Amino acid sequence: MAKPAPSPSKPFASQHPTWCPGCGDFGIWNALQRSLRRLKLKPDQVTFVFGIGCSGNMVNFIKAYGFHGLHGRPLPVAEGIRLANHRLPVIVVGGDGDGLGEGIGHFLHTARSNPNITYIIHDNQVYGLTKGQHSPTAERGFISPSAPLGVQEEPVNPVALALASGASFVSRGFAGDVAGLEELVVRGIQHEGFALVDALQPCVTYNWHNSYHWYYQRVYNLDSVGHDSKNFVAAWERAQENMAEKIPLGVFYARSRPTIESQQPALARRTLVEQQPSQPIDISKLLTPYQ
Amino acid sequence: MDSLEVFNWKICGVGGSGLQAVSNILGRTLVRGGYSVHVYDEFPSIIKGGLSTGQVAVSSRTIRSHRTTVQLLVCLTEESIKLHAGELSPNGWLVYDSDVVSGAPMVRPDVVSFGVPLTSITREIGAERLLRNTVALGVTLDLLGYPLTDTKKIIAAEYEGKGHQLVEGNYRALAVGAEYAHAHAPKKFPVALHQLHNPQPRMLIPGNDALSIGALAAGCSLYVAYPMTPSSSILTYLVKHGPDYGMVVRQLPDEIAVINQAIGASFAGVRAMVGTSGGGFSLMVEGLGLAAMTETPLVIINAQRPGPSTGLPTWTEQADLRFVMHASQGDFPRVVLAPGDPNECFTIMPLAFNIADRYQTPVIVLTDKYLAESWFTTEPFSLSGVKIDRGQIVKRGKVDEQTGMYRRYADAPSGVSPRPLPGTPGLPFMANSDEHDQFGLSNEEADVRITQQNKRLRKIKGIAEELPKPSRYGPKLADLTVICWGSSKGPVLDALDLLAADGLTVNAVHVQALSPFPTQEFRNLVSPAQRTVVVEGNAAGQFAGLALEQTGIELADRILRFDGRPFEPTELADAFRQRVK
Repeated sequence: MAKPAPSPSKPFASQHPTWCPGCGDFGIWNALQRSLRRLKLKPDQVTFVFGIGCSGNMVNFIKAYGFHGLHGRPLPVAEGIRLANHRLPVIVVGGDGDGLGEGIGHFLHTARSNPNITYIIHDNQVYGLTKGQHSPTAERGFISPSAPLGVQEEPVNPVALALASGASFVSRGFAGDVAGLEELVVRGIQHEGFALVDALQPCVTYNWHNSYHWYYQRVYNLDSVGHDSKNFVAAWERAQENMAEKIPLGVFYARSRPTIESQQPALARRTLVEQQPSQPIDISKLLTPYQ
Repeated sequence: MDSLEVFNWKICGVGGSGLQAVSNILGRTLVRGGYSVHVYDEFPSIIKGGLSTGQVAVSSRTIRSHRTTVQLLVCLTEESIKLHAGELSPNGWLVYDSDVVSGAPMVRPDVVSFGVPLTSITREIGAERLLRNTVALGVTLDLLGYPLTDTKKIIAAEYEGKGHQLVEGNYRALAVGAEYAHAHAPKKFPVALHQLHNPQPRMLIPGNDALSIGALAAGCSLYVAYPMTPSSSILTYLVKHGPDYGMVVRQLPDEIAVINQAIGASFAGVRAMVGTSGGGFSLMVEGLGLAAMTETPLVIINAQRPGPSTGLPTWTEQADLRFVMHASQGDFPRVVLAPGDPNECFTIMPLAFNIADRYQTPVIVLTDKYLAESWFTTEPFSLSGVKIDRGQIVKRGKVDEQTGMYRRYADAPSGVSPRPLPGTPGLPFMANSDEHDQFGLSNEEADVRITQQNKRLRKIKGIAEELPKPSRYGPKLADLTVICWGSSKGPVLDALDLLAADGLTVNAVHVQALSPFPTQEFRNLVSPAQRTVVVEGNAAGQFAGLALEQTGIELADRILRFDGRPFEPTELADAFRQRVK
C-alpha cells in the first residue's frame, strides 16, 4: 500500500496519488475534494464510478463508496447505481480514451437518458498508462508512439458531442484552474441530470504539446464574455471555437429536463433498494392467462 | 398416431399472418379441456413473408415435445402444401384455402384433401384477411367434434384490450369455419377430441415467460436488455408486467451497457438480471468477469440459437455451453444452470438469484429457442419452498483505523465476505476491477493476489452443494441410459414413454447444473449403465466432452443435432430402439 495521506482537512483523501509529479490529475483531484467539502458531503454519502486509465487510478486516492469498472464503461454502471438508489450522489471519473474512445456510445446514450450524475472527463489527448499513444481528442497531426506520421483523424469534441446528444449540463474546466474547476463540479453535482465536466488536463510525461503554458495562453472564461448558458445556439458556437487559438471554459449549456430515474414508475415513492422484498412475491395472478 | 396417441395439427402460411397466435389459441383450448399440449412454431428471420408454421401436438397422456408427423395439415398457401404435405401421416387430412390453390392439390392418394374457400368466407363476413386463421380454427374444431366455448373465452381474453370489434370478428370467423366444415367435410375426421372430465387446471406456457415469472417471484427488481431472438419476449413480458411488481425494466442501446448497468444496480443493492442470446452474451463477456472480480451478484439469461456468429437467428441449438462456462479472461467461479422445461425455468430463478446473492457472483441460466419460445403444458407454478436469501449485506461494521475504510474483501473461509451497500453510513469501500486488497484498493503484491484469487475460487465448493443434482428418469436398471441436458429433456422423456409402451427398458439422466459439474452424482448415475447415449443439440458433443473431462467417463455414443431443429421423440425412440435390439 502506498503511504497514507488522510488528514482531517481532507476527508476524501485515502492514499497519496501515484500520478507523475505535475500531472493535471492532481488539480482535478483537489478540485473534486474541495467541491465535495463545499457541498458538505461526507465520504460515505458519495458514490464514485471510475473508468480505466490514470484518471481511474483515483480509485486508490479517494475515500468514499466507489466502483472501478471496465475501460470505457463507467457510465452505464453509474446509471445502474442511480436506478437502484436515486438518493446517492454519483460522480463518474474517467479519461478521454475511456469515455470518448472505448465508451463513446455510452457517452452519447447516457447524455440522452439524463441520469442525475456528474461526469468528469480527464481530457489530456493521450493514453498515459499505456505510454503515450494519442487519444480521440488529440488534434490532427499530433505525433504519438502509435501515430509517428501524426494523427490522421479529426479530434472528438466532447462539448459539442454532449450538446448534440441532448446533455442537460455541459461544461469545460481546466486542471490548471482549480477554483474554476471546483465551481463547475459543484454546479454539476447540483444540476439534476447528466452533467458533463470536460476537464482539460496536461499530461506532463507524454504530451509536451498541450502543456500548462499552452493552455494558459488560450483559455478564457465564458462568463467574461457574457455567454448565456440557456442559449443552445450560442453554446454550439462556443463549442466550435478552434482550440488551437481560443479555449472557452465554464458552463456552455444548462437546462432542466426529466432524469431517467424520475420517469420510472417504480421509483415514484421510494428507492428501488428500499423496496427489496424479503419474501417471495405472489405471482399467482400472472399465471391465470396461461390456463 | 403413435402409442402416446398424439394428435398433431399444423398450420402453414406466410410469416406474419398470425399463425403463432392461432396455434396458441388451439393449444390453450385443449389444455383447458384437460389435454397435454405442446405448441411449436417455426419461422424465418423476417417480419413479413417467408413460410412459417405453427403446430399443436395434443394427447390425453403427458407429452413434453412436438411431433413431425401431422394428422391435420392446414395450408394457407399453395407453396406450403408442396413443402409440408409429405409430413402427413397415412390417411392424414389436408385442409387448404381453395381460393388460393388452383385445382386439386398434388398429394399422396391416401391423403384426404378438404378445400375450404377460406379467403372468400373471410371476405363474406367482412373480416380482415388475417382472420382466415380463425376460420381455419373453426374448421379444425368442427372436424375434431370439439365445442367452441373455451376457444371463444380465450379469444375474448386475448383480444378484449384491442376492442370489441376484433373479438366479435373472431367469433364470427370461428363460427363460419365450423359451419362450413360441418356442411362440406368429405367424410368423418378419424380423430375426435372431447373435454376430459374434471380436468386438472394446468398451464400452457413458454420457457421465457416461466423465467420471467420466476424472476418476479424471486424479487428481481431490475431487468435491462437489448432485443435479441430468442430472448426478446423476456423483455416484452417484463416491461408489461414488471412495473406492477415494483420492477424497473428498460431496453438499453447495447448489451455492453446492459450488463454494466445491471452490475451498477446490483452493486447498489438490488436484484438485477439481464437476458440475451449468444451474440449479445459475447458482448457481455468482459462484464461477466467484472461481476466476478468485484463480487457483484448478477443473473444472466442466455437463450441459445445456432451459431457461429448470427447463425440461424430463429432456430434452436445447444452449442453455447462451452462458451458460457469458459467466458471471460481469468479464473473465477462460473455457474451455469440449464433448466429442461418451464417448471424448471420457474424454480431455477429464485435459486439463481439466491446463489448470486449469497456467493456474490454472476450466475448464468442457459436456455434455447425451443425451450424459450415453445409452449409446454405444466402444473401451475408453486411458491412453496421458494425463499429469498440476499446473503451477507451489512449495515454496521468496523472500519480500519488507518484508512477509515471497510474491509469489504476480507478473506473468509467460504470465500464470501459481508458487503455494505453504497450509502450505508460509515463503511466506505471500493469495488475494483483491478486486483485489490481487502478494502478494494488496487494491489499487485503477490500475497494479496493469491489471497483474493483463492477467496473468489473457494466459493465454488459452497455453490456446488446447493445446485440441483442430475435427475434419473425411468427404471434404475435399463438396457440403455440416455444422457441429456437443458431442453432436450422433453423429447427424450417422450421417447422413453414411447419405448416403455413397447416394453423396452430405457432410462434417462438429465443434468440441469452444468458448472460447477456434479461430478460424483453424475458418476453414481451413469457408471452402472449398461450402455449410454448422449443426446445434445450441437455438432461437437460439448456436454459429452465436458462429462469426460469432469468424470473420466467416456460417452462415445452421441446423437447430435445442429440443423436448427429440435430433437423429435419418435425419431429419438427409433434411434434408441436400434441400440437395444
